Amino acid sequence: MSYLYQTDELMKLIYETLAGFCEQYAIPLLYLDLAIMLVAVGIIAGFVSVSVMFMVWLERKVSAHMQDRLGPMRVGPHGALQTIADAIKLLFKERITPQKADKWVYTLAPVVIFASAMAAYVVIPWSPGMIIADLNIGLLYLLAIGSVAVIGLLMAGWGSNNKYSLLSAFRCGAQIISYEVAATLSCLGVIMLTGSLSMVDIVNAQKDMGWPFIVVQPIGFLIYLIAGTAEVNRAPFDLAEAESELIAGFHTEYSAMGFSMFFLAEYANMFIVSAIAATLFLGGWAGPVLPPVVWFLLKTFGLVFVFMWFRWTFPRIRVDQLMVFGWKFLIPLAFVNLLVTGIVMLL
Amino acid sequence: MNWAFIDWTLLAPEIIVLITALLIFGLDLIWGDESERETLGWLGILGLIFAFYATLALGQGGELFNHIYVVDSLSIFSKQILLGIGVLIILASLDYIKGATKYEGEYYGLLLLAILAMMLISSAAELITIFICLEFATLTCIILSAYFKHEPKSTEAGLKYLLVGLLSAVVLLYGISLVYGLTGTTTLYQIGGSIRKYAFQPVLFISCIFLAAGFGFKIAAVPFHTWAPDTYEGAPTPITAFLATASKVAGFVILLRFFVGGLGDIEGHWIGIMVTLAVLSMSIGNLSAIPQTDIKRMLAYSSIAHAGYILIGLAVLSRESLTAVLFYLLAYAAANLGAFLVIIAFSKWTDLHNISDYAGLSKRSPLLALSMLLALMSMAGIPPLGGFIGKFYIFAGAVSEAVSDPERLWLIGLPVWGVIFSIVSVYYYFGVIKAMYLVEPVDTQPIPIPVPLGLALLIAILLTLLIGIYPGPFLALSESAIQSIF
Amino acid sequence: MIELTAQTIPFYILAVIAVISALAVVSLKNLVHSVLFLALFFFCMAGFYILLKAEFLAAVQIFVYVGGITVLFLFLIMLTFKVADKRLRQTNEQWLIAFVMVILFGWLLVTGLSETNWEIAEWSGPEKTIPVIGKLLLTTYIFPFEVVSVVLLAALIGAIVIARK
Repeated sequence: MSYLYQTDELMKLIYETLAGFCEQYAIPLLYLDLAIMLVAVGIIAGFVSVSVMFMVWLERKVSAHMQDRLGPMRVGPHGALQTIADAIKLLFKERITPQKADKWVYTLAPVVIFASAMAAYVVIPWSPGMIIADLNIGLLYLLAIGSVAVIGLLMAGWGSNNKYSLLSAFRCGAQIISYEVAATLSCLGVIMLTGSLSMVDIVNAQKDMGWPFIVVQPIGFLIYLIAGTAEVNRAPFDLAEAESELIAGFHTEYSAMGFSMFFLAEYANMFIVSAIAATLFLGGWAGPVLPPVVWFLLKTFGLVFVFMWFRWTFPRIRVDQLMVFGWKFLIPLAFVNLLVTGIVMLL
Repeated sequence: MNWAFIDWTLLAPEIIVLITALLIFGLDLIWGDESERETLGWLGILGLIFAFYATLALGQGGELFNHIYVVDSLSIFSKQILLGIGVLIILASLDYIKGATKYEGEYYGLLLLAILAMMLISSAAELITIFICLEFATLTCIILSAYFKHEPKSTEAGLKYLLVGLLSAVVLLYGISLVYGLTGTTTLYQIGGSIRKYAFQPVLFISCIFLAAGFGFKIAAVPFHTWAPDTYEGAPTPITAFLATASKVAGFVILLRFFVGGLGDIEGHWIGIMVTLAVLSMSIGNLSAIPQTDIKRMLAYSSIAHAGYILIGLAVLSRESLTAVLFYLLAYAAANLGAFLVIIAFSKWTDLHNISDYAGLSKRSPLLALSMLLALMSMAGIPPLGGFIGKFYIFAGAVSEAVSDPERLWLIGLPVWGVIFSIVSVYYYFGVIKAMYLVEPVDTQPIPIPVPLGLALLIAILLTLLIGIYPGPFLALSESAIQSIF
Repeated sequence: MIELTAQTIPFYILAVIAVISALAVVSLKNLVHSVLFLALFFFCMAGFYILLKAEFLAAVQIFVYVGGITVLFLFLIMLTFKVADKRLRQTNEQWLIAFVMVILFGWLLVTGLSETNWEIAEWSGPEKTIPVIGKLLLTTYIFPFEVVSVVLLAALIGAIVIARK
């Protein structure tokens, strides 16, 4: 039971057992590391699919209840199996490539987006010791990988050879680039307080301090939350989808597997943004009584719920408002936040 | 690093220029659209003059941040030249730029930043700093060249400068990385110490080629000159004058500091490169200038040729010849500014750029024609003007070095080549003079000279005369400047 | 001559991808494809930095070059009127001269580099490079660091002056 709390011990135990096994049969440790890597990838892939299905169901339920409806009710108790049914249907659909599309770019675009979303899971600290790689550059890695997704978006929009898709990709790309600046700047306050970019160090710093960074960085948290909403292109910043103007966005032409990859990536990105916010500002896995991994998931899904709440509460804003808000308000505010943090730290 | 021991006063000129530039940007932003932007230009001149005063107070100078930034007599000398050029260019711009662009305030600010960049170049003594400062200068010059963005020629000027500049930056960076790879340090001071052990190293030779290509772009030496004619022709004329003088001064100073100061002990690696550049620049520059019909293009090729003459001084590598390099730069800058200031006054009034359009200038504006005459004669190397003395010292330095060292007797070829092409150059300079004095004007309307521009012209021409008639003090200045590296 | 170890195998794989994608950048007829291969090339560079234990540089490489510069290129190409759809020739009449020059230059570089006795240092850097880089930037290299900030200011103002109507 205590292993649930001291997951680092658990991981160590598993690794040592396996290493002993390898030694017994004279297998080089390199292979063990490779095998562990593969298993980790498998676990992540599994987690992503399950959590996305859960989030899709959650979104439909949350939106329904906010609008005084019931939402899906037919498949499984309270429609819990609805997304599984949808996913199966989606996978069996015909894969369509528009005739005038740029085949390679069109096919690779969902892969790029999905891969960049998946790659981010590498540095998410689930619980002590439970992290695929505790990189020194953890947070920087996350921001860097996140910025790659824009290329995938532009590939999808341009490769589809559809004006609406391209317009949406532009909007989306411009939005992500603009709000990336604010998001990065808001994270810098936390990094200054921690003195490290490693996600594990950031959680430990909050644990040592006794309270999460949201207490000392409330503005940073708010900026990150807003910029994060914009980065995952969710309402009120969902101009890239804007059904009334652009049909569905950059993935209009995609069907079956391609579409499901975009779908997965979208929700996986929401999870990542929530996980980063939970780690940076809410103390990550740290918390009393409950096991760390439970705390982490609670905080993350709590933020996921907040994102859904946003979506069904605020109306969509205009594209010029979006840019003005990002560049003229959010980024200067983030700079002021940084300056104040620095001054307080000096004193 | 102990901050208390840093002598910030050594940076005073740069800081003054930077603050003036920021002040100009700020005031330009605050002031309404109706306000007179000319005031900002005068503010810039004031800042430059203050900075000039600050350079006088630097005394012996010193070094900052562990030899990353060196303030020695060479850099003080070149900063004074650069600030002087800056004042003259702004004086000439005041009337020229008025109404020509919507962004007058930014023009003065960017011009000051360009001057700042070149001042930084003249003091930078560390590879990263050198690269950043060079790129700073290139960037500001690109913006200023393309400033008249509605004129296709100006855009072309900026674009060509940008493309060739990027290429040269990449090559320069490669050369820098090779030097770093060999020595493991980035300050010239330490590179000079650790590089001494190499008798001949192929990589060092390659990196010298790359470095020469990078700096050769700045001084527009053949074969890295291809941008110059088009950029000179298309850029706003004050900016052309700036590129032809300040950019060249900064380029030669960094060339001197890098090769003579940093790699001086392994001169076998790069003397050949300098000789090649000098010979090519003199021949191709002068020969290409002959058929030109556009006066700015003609002066562009002539400035390439002048880079060739100056490179002789580097190839000879003696105290005398290096002193002559600095002296020549001074004389060249004064004469070239004089010529370009006349072009500014002329083209602002007539909007014509061909040499044939200068027909009868002596009747339309005797003062402009006389100034042009003196400037061109100085550039052609006719006594008793500054250019003649400069050429004399360059060639004399080469000859005396060749005579004193039998092994380097081949050096005598360089001045011979230089004299031949100086004579060639007289031909195209006199083409302009002939047009001005011997051809009857088509349009007899007199050309007015704006007061600030006239002042700048007066300074430039008086300096050209003074350097020729009384070269002593200028020579002494150059000699003391060169002592800090050779 | 070619040793295959845990360090060199990833290097050779990356090197092959890097060279192929670099060639694709300069030879493909579709500009968008070129830029996408450029992104791949930048990724390979980041891989080299990781092999050299410069993780910070690798992350910055991806952040700035892939996430910033490539995206900027894509935007520019896609926004430029009809350039994105055109088949462009990447060479002109002078390609033969350029080719000869490139071969000569390549030969010069390869022979020069291989005939040099490089002093090879053992890795002695710190485990965490970021704090060291930060400290160096703000002490020893404070001067170029500050100059860069002025350069950025000039670039910003210049971009506005040139691009604005």
